[in-house]
Amino acid sequence: MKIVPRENRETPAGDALFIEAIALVEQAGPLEDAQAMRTAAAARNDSESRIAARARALGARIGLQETLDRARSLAPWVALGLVALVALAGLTLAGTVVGERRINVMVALASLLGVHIVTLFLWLVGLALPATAFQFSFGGLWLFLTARVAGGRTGQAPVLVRAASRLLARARLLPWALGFVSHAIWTLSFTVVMASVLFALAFRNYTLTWESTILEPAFFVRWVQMLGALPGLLGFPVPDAATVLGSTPAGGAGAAQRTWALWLAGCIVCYGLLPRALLTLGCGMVLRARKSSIRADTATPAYRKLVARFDAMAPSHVVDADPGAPAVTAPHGLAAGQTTNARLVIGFELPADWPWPPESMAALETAGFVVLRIDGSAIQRQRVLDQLAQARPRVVLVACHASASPDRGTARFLRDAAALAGECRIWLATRDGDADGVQRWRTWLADTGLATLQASDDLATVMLAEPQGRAAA
Amino acid sequence: MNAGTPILIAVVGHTNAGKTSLLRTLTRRVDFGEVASRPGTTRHVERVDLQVGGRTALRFFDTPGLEDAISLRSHLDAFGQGDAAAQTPPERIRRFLQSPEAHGDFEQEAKVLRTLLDADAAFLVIDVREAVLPKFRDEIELIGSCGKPVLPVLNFVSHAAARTAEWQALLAAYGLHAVVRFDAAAPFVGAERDLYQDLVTLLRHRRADLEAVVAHLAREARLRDAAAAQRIAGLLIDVASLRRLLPATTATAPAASPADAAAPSQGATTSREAAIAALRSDVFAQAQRCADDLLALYGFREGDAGEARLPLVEGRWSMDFFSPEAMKDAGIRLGKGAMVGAAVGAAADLAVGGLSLGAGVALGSALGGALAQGWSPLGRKLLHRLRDIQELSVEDNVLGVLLVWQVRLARALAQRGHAAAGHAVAENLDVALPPEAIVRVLRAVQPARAHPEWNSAKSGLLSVLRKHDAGPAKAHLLQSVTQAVQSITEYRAQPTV
Repeated sequence: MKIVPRENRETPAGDALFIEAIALVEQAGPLEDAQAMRTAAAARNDSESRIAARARALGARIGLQETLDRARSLAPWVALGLVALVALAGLTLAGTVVGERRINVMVALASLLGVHIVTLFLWLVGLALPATAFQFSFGGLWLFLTARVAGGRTGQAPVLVRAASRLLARARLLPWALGFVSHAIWTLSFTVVMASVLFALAFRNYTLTWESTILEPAFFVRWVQMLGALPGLLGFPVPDAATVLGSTPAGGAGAAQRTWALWLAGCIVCYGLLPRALLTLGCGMVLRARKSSIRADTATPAYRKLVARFDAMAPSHVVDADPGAPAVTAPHGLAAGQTTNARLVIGFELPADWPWPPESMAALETAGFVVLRIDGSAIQRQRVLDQLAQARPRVVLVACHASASPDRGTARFLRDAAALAGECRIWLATRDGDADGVQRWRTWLADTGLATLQASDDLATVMLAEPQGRAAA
Repeated sequence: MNAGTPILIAVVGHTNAGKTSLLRTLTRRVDFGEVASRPGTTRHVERVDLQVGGRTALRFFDTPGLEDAISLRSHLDAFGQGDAAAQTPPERIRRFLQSPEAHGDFEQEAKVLRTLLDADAAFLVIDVREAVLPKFRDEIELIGSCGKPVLPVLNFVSHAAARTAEWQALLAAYGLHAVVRFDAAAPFVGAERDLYQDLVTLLRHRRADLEAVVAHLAREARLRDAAAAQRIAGLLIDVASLRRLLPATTATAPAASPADAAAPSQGATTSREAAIAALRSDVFAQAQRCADDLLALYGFREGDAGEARLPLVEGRWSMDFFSPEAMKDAGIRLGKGAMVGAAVGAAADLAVGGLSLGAGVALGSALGGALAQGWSPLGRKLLHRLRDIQELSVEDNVLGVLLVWQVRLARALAQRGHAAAGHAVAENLDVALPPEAIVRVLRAVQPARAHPEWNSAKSGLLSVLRKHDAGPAKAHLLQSVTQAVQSITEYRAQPTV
């Protein structure tokens, strides 16, 4: 008994079964999967096989694999049990119309073929309406019983059944897969039935008759001829009109009985055994051809969520490590005695469209201040530092753009400037009061070892405060 | 000849320009590196891969910021003078990297240059809010002297203080005409594709690889959006199928007027209140699970909700889905009749148990639930006749609120970068969604009302076997609701173009 996808280990279909089953289980809440995620991410490269590996790992843990293995070993026995049941039922039904070694051919035919014809019709309907296919087939019954036998009422077997049926339904293979099992069961049953019927007819003497209360004899003649046409093509004899008319319970026997018996056998072969065998073959071929369409649905939210989670696990590597910030020392200004009374204001790396000196400075008492501006280029820096070295001012005020990001180049300039003046102060200039920027600069000054420099976003504070050197003196 | 090997891309730029933010967004990883507004946050070189189909297609290197380009440029001038073997700029850089200062004062810059020399191309990230200054010129020259193709990425272009035109002029002066406008903190739809397509012009021999990356990213984005729509549809079906059974005797008290509600026995009232509270908490729990799933779907961790600074996520469940304010907020100002058609009259706002069979099928699917809406006399009568049991279910207005919130959340997540720590986010989430599309979704979800067993939280494993056929029918409904939800997202996509 070979059924897709339950028999496939480590195949796309088998992977899909586990992915689907785990997704179903996780509908009720996520499983603890840290370990499974890690191993899957380490073992595979692409998200599809990673998700499959995760599903298999989780499936093994919660018992899906175990249940599947058990179901797989039990499935053939369940199928055989169903065969026995079908064969027994057919024969019993046929047996009830055997009275005193007398067989009513029409009733025997109906009881052997009736259920089969009805289920076959329903299966054909199910092909057209896939949603309804489940209830009416031995395949569905077999799946149900296998799951029940393998997993009991509460185990993981129902999850597997539902996952398998969802997968097959999505691949539009559900009627074909269940049909394959149903047809196989029917084929085996008809083989058993045929064997027992032929055995009974071969070694026992039966009288095959027909009878009716309301139907014309001509009706039976026509039906017997019609039903016998197909078996006739295969070489089974067809009773002629005289034989039919002579085979009422009251009528004759003899050589005609042999024709009748072979006609009955031919009908069972042609209308029972052969169609089911061919359909088994056909379903098997459809399954084989479309096996590749049994795949996990990669569009579901659960699947995409896992893709995102695996993507986020991609390791990042530090390839050039940080040796740690070098130790910084606070800059030392010139001693009070080494400075002159000059005061400098330097606009450092301010946006070109800012007026300099700013209007706010014009409002202050700026007598004695030398106001400079540099854009930070190497030449201008050098020029200003040369100027500082010559002037040795008591106070140098550096105006920085508070909204710009401070950097080590700025720190270098501030250190150089601070070393050439009695005191270095920083004005954190903003246009619209960028409090975040000011705070960022303050934090940065502290981190860079420049915390000793007085810094403020208020120009008057930093510009007009008394120099520390003089206060100390 | 290079096919199959990853393309190495160094992400370089001034300190604090948003290099790590850009990489977080490009790799969809909220936990990559460290992002902060203080300068020099990244001090090492860190590598992260972008996988396409199980293979590393792009390998990004996050580098420390360039901070002292001016001094380094002056320092570099000393190299190669009078040395015939070091006349090309990259050769001078190599000489510098072997000198002691490469591990001293210019340690950080040396890391950047070392990485850049080994890379195939560089993304030069620029914070366009900064004024164009000589130090940036020196940075561009430094990076250019490594001799690698450079693609400038302008960050914060949507900021008020952006000086995009000035920067473009400066970059053009250095021959960098292909420029990608990006905003690591704001919606970045389309910018990512532009980035890789412009990279093709710089790396022509890797065209096939880069186009595969673009195709892969587009496919992933499509699948993510579709999955989000399906998740939201699943939530709506779950909530629509939610139901609480009440013995009729406890529910007969008309809650429409407070006076009436107080009249019957105390026990009946409290049991009804308890049922309502329980149903509400079910709705909250399912909505929260959906939001968490959406976060995970777009690569945000649940714990990152705070960091991601999404207004929707931050205050997400403090708001009452059931209040009229919530409906107003969601832009659902439609009357009940407009919601599900004229079939739902004012009187028929109670889904009645036992009506889902026979004559009830059509009626039952049209009936909205009644939660905090009062018990209708008609419903009560039908109820008493038929079964003596009442069913409490969730109203269409509430479904509409859930829908709008989740769609907005998904939209915000789809468009946002993964990096926006501390940046103000200019996301316009309050634009009303098209009412007719909402109504379409709510109509589509109605069949779920007749199937309490479809609620995924409720369908335990035991019911799995018995309800086999719920599978195809529910899957079909899920599909049609998903399509309806997607029509909202697609409708939204057009005006933003």
